[in-house]
Amino acid sequence: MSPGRVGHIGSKGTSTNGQHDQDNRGHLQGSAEHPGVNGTVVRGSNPFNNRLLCLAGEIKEAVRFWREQCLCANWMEPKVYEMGRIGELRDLALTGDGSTIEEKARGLRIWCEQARLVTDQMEPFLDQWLIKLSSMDRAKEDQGHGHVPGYGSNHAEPVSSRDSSLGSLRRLTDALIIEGILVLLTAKDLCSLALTSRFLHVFSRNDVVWRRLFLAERHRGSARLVFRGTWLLTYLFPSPEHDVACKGHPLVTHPVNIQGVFSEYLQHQWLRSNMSFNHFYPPPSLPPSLPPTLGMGGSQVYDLSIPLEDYQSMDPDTFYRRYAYPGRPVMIQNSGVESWPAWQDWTLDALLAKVRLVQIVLL
Amino acid sequence: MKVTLESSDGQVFTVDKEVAELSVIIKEMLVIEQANQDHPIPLLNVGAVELAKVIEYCEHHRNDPTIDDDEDYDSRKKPIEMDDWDKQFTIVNKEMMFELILAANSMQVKPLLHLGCRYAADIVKRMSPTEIRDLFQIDDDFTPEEQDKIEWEKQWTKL
Repeated sequence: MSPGRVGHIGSKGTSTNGQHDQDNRGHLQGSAEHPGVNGTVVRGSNPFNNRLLCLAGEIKEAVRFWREQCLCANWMEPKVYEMGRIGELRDLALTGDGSTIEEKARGLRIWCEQARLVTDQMEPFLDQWLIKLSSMDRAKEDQGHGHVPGYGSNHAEPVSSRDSSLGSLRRLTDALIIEGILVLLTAKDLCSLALTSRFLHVFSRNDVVWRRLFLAERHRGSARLVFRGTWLLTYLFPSPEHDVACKGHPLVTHPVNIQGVFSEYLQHQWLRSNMSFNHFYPPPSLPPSLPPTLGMGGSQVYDLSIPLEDYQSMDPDTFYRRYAYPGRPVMIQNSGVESWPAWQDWTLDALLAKVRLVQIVLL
Repeated sequence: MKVTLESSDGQVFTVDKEVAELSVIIKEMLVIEQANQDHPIPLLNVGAVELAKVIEYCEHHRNDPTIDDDEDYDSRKKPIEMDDWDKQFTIVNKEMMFELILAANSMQVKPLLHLGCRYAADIVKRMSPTEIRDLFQIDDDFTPEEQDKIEWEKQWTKL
């Protein structure tokens, strides 16, 4: 993944976004306040609603993905952060607020437009998803992702107020509470915190915290470890002789499922560890020009010729899909190529500065 | 060499460059804006009260060796070295400390951030859930069903 390209998307997507974002928020909030006719819309009651939810989830993942990439590539612009609001918009559009399907659909369309601003380079994929999603049936959706911590709910669940649930800790961000403070606590302190309120319960069950705790306290002598699916369980039952105890433990037999706790940070964390990237780069189908041919000596060889592309007919999208993602070599002819960022980035000096310590083996 | 910083509510502070550079953000800004030094650096997330405190901290720690911020798993074991000055410095109410954590986070003053988090972690240590609730004015918002299910942690807190 080239930082250059990601930056391009980020900056392009945000150039007009701020304004839209504001407009659409007003719009959506308007619809959210609309008094409902039949009360809440239950998830799955309507195939159309199902599809909306799936679609929203996928696009949201896509947006988050690009946002992460932008952050990673140091192409952070303040406006990119504003894309966080897309999440809020989605939540407004999809929670059971009593608005009608039509209103939700309108909200979602606005929201998709926003997603497109960031992901305009991904439009071909977006269309593919739409086709895929429209053929998706309910059964398939139901076996979907399972419980997403911090994902809140699309049901009409009681939604906790973050402020009252965190008390004076509310001034801190979720990331600061978890990564800054909770990682410094002992298991017992974490349990105390988990009993105070719903938000703190979810926070102090966080896997990152328990992983740190486990790794800090593990005894190097005990070689045999069993990973129990979460770090909390692994912390409690690290070795094989705990198998029985683990199976009968209340955490396994009666898992607590706290609904209605919203946290952008936790959601982000969950997506980072669970997202399948296959969505974003559909594996390219091999071109038909690669049939096995009989080479010298009767052994099978493949056509190893490197394709020659004309610069004029090459846009970034084609380049990435056809060559960069599959990792295929290509030759590019005609001038104009000098304007590509790679022309500066791929000099020996620049590479040396970047990967000075990497040993490269020439075959 | 002096640097001027402007808090979110418009107060301007003038500090030595090496003091300001304890903040990673300001350090990076100074590299970028080398030519353009006549404007104060705006810190949009930091109020004047907090900024004054942060500067006070940085003034005191201006000669500290920079700690490399390795995500070291064992770092939780090491207690942060707090001198008497630091102890004096942390005698503030917890709301103020949270504001300082936020300020240190947005300005990326790593040692102060660590100090603040350590302070926050220390005050909840060995406390019962009820004590923590009182300390932070947290509402017990579990539903009755949830209340029944969270038995597991209760056993642990009795140990």
